[in-house]
Amino acid sequence: MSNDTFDAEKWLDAVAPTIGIPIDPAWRASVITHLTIVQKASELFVDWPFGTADEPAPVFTA
Amino acid sequence: MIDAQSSAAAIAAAVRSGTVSARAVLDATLARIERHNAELGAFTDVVAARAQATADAIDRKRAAGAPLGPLAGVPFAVKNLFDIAGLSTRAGSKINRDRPPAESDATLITRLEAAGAVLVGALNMGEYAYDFTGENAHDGPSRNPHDRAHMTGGSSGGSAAAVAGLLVPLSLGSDTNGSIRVPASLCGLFGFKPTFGRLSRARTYPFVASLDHLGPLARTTADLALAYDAMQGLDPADPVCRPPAVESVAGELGRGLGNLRVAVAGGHFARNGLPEAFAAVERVAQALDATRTIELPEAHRARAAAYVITAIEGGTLHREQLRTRAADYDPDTRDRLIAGAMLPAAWYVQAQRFRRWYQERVMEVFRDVDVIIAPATPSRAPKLGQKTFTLDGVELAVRANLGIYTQPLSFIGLPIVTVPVAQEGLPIGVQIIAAPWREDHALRVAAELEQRGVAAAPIAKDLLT
Repeated sequence: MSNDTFDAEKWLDAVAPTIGIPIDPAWRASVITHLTIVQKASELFVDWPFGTADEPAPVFTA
Repeated sequence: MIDAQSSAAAIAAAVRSGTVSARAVLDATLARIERHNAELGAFTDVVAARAQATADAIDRKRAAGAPLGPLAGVPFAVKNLFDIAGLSTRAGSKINRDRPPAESDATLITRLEAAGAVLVGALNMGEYAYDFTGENAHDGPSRNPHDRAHMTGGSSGGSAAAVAGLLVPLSLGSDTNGSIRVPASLCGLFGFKPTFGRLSRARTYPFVASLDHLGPLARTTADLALAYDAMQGLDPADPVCRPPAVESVAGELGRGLGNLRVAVAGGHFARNGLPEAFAAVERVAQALDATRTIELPEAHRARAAAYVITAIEGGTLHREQLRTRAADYDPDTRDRLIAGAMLPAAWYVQAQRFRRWYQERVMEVFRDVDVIIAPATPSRAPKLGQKTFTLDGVELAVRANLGIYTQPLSFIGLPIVTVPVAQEGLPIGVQIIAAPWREDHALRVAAELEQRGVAAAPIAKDLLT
């Protein structure tokens, strides 16, 4: 699941119009910076060797 | 005598005994707000007429011989993301001011008033709670009462400014990643974030639903406990609120340490801070005779996962609004929310899986200890407008990194009291961390530190009038 090929600029150009969020040119660099910061943060856990019990969903009881 | 620095407990005792009326306490409070709020940036709304009616009702009740609650006549205020009937819940934003007024109060306001407390208003905060500084592009910054050129910390900046500024003895804030504990540390207050799911969040504006907590700030541990006891209990209006039982703690504070096993957090919590942060921890550790150091495994990764969950849940919450009103956000908030609204789902799923993994490892640590001590913030209060600071030789953004020690802990919902460590200069706090649902342990340790004179809320003497 490695995400080291993530390209923040390409991601922004593809996703922003897809989900309908307009990006003013004055904001673009800052949004890219934040995308990059989050991507770097995700690298710390995204490939963590989880076990099958490491489920993200809460346990529901009926 | 009741004055600006009186505790909530002292005010309630005086009102119950008839030494002072609730109305007299309120009038003095409103006068102080009028005198000092402009320089502190604490209140955004004051509900004077409502407060006067509440205080007068308490005085009539006493005159009739009816019993009064544990917080009788205690003025309090709430971060402006709590619903207050008749006010638009602005959550620090410009956009929310267009919302209709709230029809009823947040559950925690109702419960504090049922205990006799008197709501006096709503408090400044970082926009949509995505903030550690206490700065707000729309309302101006909340200012540190101990030096108005410095930050309060955020996002519950007004909640800290109001209590440290002696405007009220008690306030409520929210804490998603540290937003009660950071301002408590920087303003020299006791701040309390109970276990995730302990207190109802009903009728408050959310930020990150799977991380949001609410809690009190005060100048003593006893006041935290009084407020906490009054606010506990199931609330069907908040599906996350699932406390095992109502567990009153105010009567437990005098028990001392007893057999509590106390350790100091090492690893992540012993790096990336300035000397004052570690000196404060050392002072607390010595007072508690805590010689053992433990490690919360992979806490830096936990912080990263909390960061990603925050970005994605926050961005998702705001996605629709970002389509139409992006220009009305504080740019510092907007650009992070836009980024969060478009991130890959896989990062979120892996972050939540890491949360489960990390929680289980930390629970193993709590088999051997009852309470863990860690710094609350990496530094004292930075100056207003300061963008970066240098930690361990690396220049880092203030806004993101004031929560470097709080974020890995709220990530798994642990109950934590931040205590102000008695010292000269601008304040700094230490986190007292307990296992889930053991708020009593954290509060007992805080009370013991206060009793020994190691923890104390400094008084801003120029605000005493």
